[in-house]
Amino acid sequence: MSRVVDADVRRGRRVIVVLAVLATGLALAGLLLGPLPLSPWQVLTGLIGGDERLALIVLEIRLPRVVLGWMVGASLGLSGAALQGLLRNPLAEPGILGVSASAGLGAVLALYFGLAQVSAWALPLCALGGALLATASLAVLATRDPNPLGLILAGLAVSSLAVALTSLALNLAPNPLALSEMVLWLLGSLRDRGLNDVALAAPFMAAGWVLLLSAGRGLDALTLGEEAARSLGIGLGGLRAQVIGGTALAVGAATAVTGAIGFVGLIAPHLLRPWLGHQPGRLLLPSALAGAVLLMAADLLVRLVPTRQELMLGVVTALIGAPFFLHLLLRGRRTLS
Amino acid sequence: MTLLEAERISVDLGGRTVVNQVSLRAAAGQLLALIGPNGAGKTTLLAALAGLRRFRGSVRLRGRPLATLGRRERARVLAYLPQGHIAHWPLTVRRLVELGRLPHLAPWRTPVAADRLAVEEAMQRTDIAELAERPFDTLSGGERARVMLARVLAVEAPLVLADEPVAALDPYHQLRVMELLRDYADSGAALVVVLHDLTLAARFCDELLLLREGALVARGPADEVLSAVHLAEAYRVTALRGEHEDQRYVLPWRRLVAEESGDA
Repeated sequence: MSRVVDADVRRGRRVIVVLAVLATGLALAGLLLGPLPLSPWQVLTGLIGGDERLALIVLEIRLPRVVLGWMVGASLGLSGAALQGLLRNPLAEPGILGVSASAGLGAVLALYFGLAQVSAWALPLCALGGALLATASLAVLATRDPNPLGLILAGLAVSSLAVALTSLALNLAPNPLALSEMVLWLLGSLRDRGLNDVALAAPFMAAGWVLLLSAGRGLDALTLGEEAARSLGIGLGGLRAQVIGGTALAVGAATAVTGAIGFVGLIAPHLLRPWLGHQPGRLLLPSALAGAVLLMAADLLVRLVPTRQELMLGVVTALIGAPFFLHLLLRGRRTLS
Repeated sequence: MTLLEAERISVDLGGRTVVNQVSLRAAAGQLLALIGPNGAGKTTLLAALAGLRRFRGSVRLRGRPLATLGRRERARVLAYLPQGHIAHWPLTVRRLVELGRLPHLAPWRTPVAADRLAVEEAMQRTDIAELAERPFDTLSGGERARVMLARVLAVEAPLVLADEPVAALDPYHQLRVMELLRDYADSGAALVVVLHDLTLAARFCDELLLLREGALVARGPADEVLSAVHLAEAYRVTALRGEHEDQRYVLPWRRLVAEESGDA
């Protein structure tokens, strides 16, 4: 009997190893490929700063992009899996629930009111505040109305409002330069980010990851409903604060540097369930890795597919994610309402 | 040994007193039935005993006040089975039963041999070992009830509070679950179980507690609690009674309408 459990655990580890290998492979591809393909040796030379031109390409352009793709994808995948567990709703996701859009609004407001010029921390902190506000209000709604579709509709409302307010700020933007800068937060991209952006976002994201990854047991217990979870020794208030805070930190920081990128958090856990089952705690770490893989793959696509103007990453994830969301909605209509 | 002592428990919900000054105690080896009409406060009382509702009065577990026990410590002493056999995700049976071990797991630690043993034993007891790898959403109602019971037994708590564990089950599975509860009590645990079936309560339980409008109307052996007067007052029914294999049965037969209730 215990062999069955071991086989299950081993399969979980195998999935994690496969995803880690994929993520590493995509990261390497991200460093090697581009308008000017580089050899591994050239990348290495660039990394240690041996050649000025290579160092510029590798350290200033490709490395930040790869690292951010990894971190942002992991943040989105992990937040999606944790939100689905907390809200017991397979459609929950930072993008759909308006968490990303609210974080984007926070960032845009920081720019609009000039706070971003006062301190480098203002922008990520405002994005974080937006994400926190959206996640917390949705969690309150979820406890009042247990209907899963009601929550998704509320999320769409939050999202629409955040996008509308962001657009308002764009409308009233003082100059075209500010406008082009603010558009990023609506569409999302990994382009033109630097290592300073990585450094700015990394501490918040890491804190968010720790909070989310340690919520696994509580999320598992919630499978049995809130009362049963409490009777198993889970403090629900603490668990909610942990997941809401973790999501706000991870998604807020991610959005602050790359703008709103949707649907990664929806797709990542869904792709893993056929292999790993539905236990929320077991899906957390693999969903983070799968999110990183998905986002880096999408970004590689954006970079390599020749288009007149580089596609925005958020547009690509929405083009893939929205039909997927529709598919889930139609398939789950009976079980959801 | 007295595991549960509750003194004058009252619960207010929305300005209304739903449970009013109820006292009860349960000792090791005892299976108690909490009975009463719909809305009598059975579920609220059970949840209060489990520490899931704010209440006035005092609850002691093994002599210690409920509030002084840490969350995890309490969860190891007291296992609670809510109504409805809910699983929000279609986990496999084994994964669901394993959740019963959560109060025993230190943070970041994986289950040890003792946890696995408890899970296997709970599945053996409830006869679901062969369902271990099946997802919950593919199970029948009777199977789901046994899985949830196994989850509660896996806690290995000396005190179990179960809310309508046989609701919506066919007669075979009702008997099956009652036998399991009786068996668990006989192995040294104390159980308080909300029941609607008076005969099951009479046959399997040591003591019955009859609630009506939040207050304890009667407590004691089935003969006393299920008297004609009590049934008329609390349930507004008359019942057929009989004996078979030295056990009593009570079969609600006729509803007492308002004008008749004076004659009953």
